[in-house]
Amino acid sequence: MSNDDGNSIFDELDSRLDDFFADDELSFDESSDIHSDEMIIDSSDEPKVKKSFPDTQSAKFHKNPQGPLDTLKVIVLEMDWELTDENLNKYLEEIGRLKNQYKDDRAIYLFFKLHSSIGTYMLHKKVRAHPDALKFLYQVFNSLEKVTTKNLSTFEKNKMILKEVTNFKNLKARMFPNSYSSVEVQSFVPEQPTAAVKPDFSSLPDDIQKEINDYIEREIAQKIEALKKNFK
Amino acid sequence: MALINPKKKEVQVKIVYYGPGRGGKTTNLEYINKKFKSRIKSEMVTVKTYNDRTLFFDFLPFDIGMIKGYTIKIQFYTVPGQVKYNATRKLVLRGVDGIVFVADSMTLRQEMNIRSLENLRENLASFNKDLNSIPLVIQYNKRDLGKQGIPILPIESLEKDLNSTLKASYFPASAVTGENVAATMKKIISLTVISLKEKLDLGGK
Amino acid sequence: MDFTFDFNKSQLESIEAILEEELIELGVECVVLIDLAGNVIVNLDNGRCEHDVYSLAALAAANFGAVSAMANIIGEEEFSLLFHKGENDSIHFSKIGTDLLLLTIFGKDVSLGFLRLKVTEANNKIKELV
Repeated sequence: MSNDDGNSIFDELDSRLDDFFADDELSFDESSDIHSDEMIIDSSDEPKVKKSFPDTQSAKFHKNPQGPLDTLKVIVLEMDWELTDENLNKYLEEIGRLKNQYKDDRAIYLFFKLHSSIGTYMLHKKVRAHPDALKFLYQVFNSLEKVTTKNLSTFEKNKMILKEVTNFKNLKARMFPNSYSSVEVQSFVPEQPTAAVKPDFSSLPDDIQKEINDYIEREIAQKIEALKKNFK
Repeated sequence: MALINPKKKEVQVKIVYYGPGRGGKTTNLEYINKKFKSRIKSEMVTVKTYNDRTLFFDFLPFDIGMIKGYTIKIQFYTVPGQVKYNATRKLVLRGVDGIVFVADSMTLRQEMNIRSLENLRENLASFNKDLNSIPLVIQYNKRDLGKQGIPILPIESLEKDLNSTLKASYFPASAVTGENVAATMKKIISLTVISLKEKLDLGGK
Repeated sequence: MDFTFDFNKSQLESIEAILEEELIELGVECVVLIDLAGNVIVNLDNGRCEHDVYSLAALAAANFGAVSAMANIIGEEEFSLLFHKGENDSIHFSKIGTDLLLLTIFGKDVSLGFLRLKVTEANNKIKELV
């Protein structure tokens, strides 16, 4: 380092500091409250609004699971904190048990099928999973809770499962944009091999198939109407 | 140590105001924050306990502009002066580049000044830093109290107690009135940035 | 001991790429890599985040130090999960190596469980670089 360099840094520094600390153009009210503009983080501050813990964090599920989904809920909450092979396997095991328990209720059974598909996918992919996959899992769980706890008609239940099946389809399209029916899809949906873009609903009961078809027709009609409006 | 970011062309420099409790460290920063508000652009952060004492630290960051092509961001911290908060003082000292020791001129505080400076020396040593070689400015604060009849130590006595071997730059000051508050700060910025000169040269390459 | 970190431009670019790929794409709002002295090493956001990252870094480093000291008092070397949950946004802290800290600010849409997996992945990749 040459002397010139040394001088130049001194000069530069002096000039910066003189600019910064210059008194000109500054008005300073010495009597003003010096604390007024500060952002004070006072450790003694009480929270303005006291909030109760959300239901989802209640410990009651851990202590004494009672409802049919309580064990599953405990596992889902655990997964929300930390995703591990252990809790994903526990999750799939519990889904397997519930699928068996609800094999006669087609709508609820389909919910569990969605759960096991996405759970298997998460177990295989883990950190490489699509960010929306876990969101979808929680969303399906919330719908499932509604279906099992509220007194819904078969029509309403079918409507909810249909909505989630459509969401699942959309999710798969986002996860595998280039090869929708690729091996990868098959590998995590072993129980529901997809027939490319058009899902195969033939295994569903007639009334659900009818619901699905009606729903799709209504959706398409709405979309067409919306498009027409846009082009007017 | 100052952090140099060659991608953003930015240097972050850490300067800590150290000294005994109630010595005026926070008031120094508050004065600067108020006076140069329009140039500082960021908020002063202060973590206090219920009785207005510094619990953790005060934090005041600002840019002083470009030097050798780098934006110089100076980050001022104060430490909690109370003896019981030594663990916190050590945390704040981590990575320090320059220090202002704010001594209390009141005769009553003579012993506390000496102990605090000793505590600073020990805490720096735990980070393998030497008080004799780190950029340091000593400020003899509360000089205004003399006019109010409160006994204060003469500068010569404070120098003898605190600065006889260090030979650091020093300023008689009053953080409340602002006397020599900016001068103290200018001096420490200058000493600290100059001490980083070599690092800046290397970073610039 | 003290901390001396010098990152060269290509290291910083690699770190940014890792954080972008692992975390910003996941939907987090803001990621800040700091050292334990409170310096900001890298900060990235989703373009809609205007936090004062320098103040955040100073407080986060101090907070981390305080929490580590608490861990020591109860006989733990450190706590593995440091997380503050807000009504809308939350902060997750992750130590990288011995001297760095990664702060992630994320909204309700991001699952903590998944975020932790992603942070661990980013953590491993960054450790290889520094």
